[in-house]
Amino acid sequence: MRQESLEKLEILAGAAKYDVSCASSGTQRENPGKTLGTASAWGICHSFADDGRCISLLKIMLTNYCIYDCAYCVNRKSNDVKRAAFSSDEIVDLTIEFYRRNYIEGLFLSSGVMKNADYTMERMVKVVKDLRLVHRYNGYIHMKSIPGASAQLVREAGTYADRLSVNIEISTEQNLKYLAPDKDYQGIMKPMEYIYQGILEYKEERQKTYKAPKFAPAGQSTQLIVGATPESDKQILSLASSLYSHNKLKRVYYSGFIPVNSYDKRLPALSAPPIVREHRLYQADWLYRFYRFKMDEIVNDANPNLDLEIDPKLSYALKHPELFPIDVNKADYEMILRIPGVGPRSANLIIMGRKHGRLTSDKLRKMGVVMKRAQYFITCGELSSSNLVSEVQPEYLKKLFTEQVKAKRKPNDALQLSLW
Amino acid sequence: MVVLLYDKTFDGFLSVIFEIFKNKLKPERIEGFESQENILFAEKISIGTDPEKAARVWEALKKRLTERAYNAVYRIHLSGAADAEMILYRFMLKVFASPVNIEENFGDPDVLRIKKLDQQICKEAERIRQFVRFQKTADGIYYALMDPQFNVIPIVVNHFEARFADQQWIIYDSRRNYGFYYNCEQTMVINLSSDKVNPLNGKISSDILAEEELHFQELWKKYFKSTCIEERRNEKLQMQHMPKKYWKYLTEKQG
Repeated sequence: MRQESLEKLEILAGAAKYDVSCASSGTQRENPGKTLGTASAWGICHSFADDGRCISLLKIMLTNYCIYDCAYCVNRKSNDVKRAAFSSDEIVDLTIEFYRRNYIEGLFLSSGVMKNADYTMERMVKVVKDLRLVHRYNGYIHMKSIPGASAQLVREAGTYADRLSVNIEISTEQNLKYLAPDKDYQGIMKPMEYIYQGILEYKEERQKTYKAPKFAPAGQSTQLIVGATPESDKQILSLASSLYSHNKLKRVYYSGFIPVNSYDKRLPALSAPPIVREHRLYQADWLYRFYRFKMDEIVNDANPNLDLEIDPKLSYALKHPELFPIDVNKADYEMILRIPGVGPRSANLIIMGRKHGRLTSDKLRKMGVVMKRAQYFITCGELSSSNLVSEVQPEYLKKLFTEQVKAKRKPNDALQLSLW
Repeated sequence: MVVLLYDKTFDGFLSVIFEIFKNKLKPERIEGFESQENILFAEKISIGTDPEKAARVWEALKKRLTERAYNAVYRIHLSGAADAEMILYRFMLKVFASPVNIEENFGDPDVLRIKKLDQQICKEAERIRQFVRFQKTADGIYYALMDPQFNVIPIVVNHFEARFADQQWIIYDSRRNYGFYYNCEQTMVINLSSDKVNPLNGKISSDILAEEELHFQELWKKYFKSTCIEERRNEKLQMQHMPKKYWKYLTEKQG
């Protein structure tokens, strides 16, 4: 019995691990009395796996049996892998027992598709419903919505889960059809629309009465696989920005394609997952969400792909030497955020600190500005102006920064490029 | 040189600040009564704790600082950080010398020092929320041992009270040899001397563990292993987020 549950856990955690989302933020829930659990607005990471990824939620599948045959997925029906299924009580127990020991912040429940979408969704909804209603559990729940699930089940899921997500996986309809012939684009977009509607209505109700029942208070997210199909970064990022602005998604995750089914000739042969590209996409995503960049300033028709050698913010600065140097004692917040080597935290310190007196390079360094980078892009009174980006060539600076990075990188850590 | 001695309580420290301003003292050190250091030619002055004087200093701080900043003063004193008293003293000299709030004057090294130190302390408090690992005992108490560099467990007690309101728990500080016990009604400060806890890995001896406890530890270790993507192995990143000094009591990091 014990051996069996260990084995099941191994199979169904292993099957769920390719979902990159692990956020537990976005919901503040107090414990209403002597019951179990709270949700904290900023989320808590309870451990970090040997791959460096945060473990916040018990990320697990109800089952890895699946009727679909998607080329990029380890659980596709034509794969000969060990299969298992949990009962809803088993998942509920595991969640509660892990939670009580402070191992986790909550549950991330996903599943392979059994019989059909609604059949699977019903079983998943039962788990989250039992947690909330039978066990009075107030911790975090992220639930995956199965593509093609009915509006009613998505609605029910949203009343218990903090976050719902539907994975798009492949950024263009045409390529999705090619790699996942059983899925259709509408089947993915519809549940996203139901979730969006549910959240909108909840927000409206909330204006009228504070007691309006919650609906997915931590919003919805999705995941895009990067490098399984030939989409450019521009295609991926414009989809992401439209999801952020039109569907009001909280997060878009990018998952560097891991060649789990290398026998499938529809997929590219990769020597390793495109981790550098994935990292650059996240950086671009952050520039869009926190640094007030527009997507077309980061990628556009002239430069449809991100530079793998340097980060997108530095890349932007080197393409626009005419905007620099920026005077840290005068420039507004948005421009200060565009200085390579300055993040939102040090930008805030600069804005607050300069009210009390002129900032010098020494003070900037103490505030956490990376002067090794920033020195080429700023003036603050006493810095020599001889090596500013407007004076020296951007090409020269790019070479300089690339070499600094290469010197730090270990030999086997070299850039991983995908082979087409 | 002047060394001021006090009882190490927060009220005691605020009383010291009160006397510094009242008598224009210029201390080079502020230490607890029990301080062992014998400094040649030092003039030692003992200062008693006076709740009224302490309250006056506290009210004055509240008037001049935002909530975050005056709480930082409390946290830094509580933390037991090296030289905390002198760092706070230099900061308060500037707070009270200025007609405007100076807490954001990060060009000033004493102000920046407070900000940085408080960030470190809050970060470690967060590490407690992250890395506490409870073990369930046969009598239903969830026990966790921690070894924080700063004295931060008091700051996170309310987080655990709210979250685990329906279970009894103990979070114990091995470095300072004291802890907190929550009995589903209230939280108490406790001192334990038990040979049932292995100080090397924080584990409770199996004869007093709840029946299913070791099984859940096994399940957790299995989960920790299974959720890792081998193709992406990155121990450097792991250590950056979960520094090695926290590993000794982490169930998933024990063989």
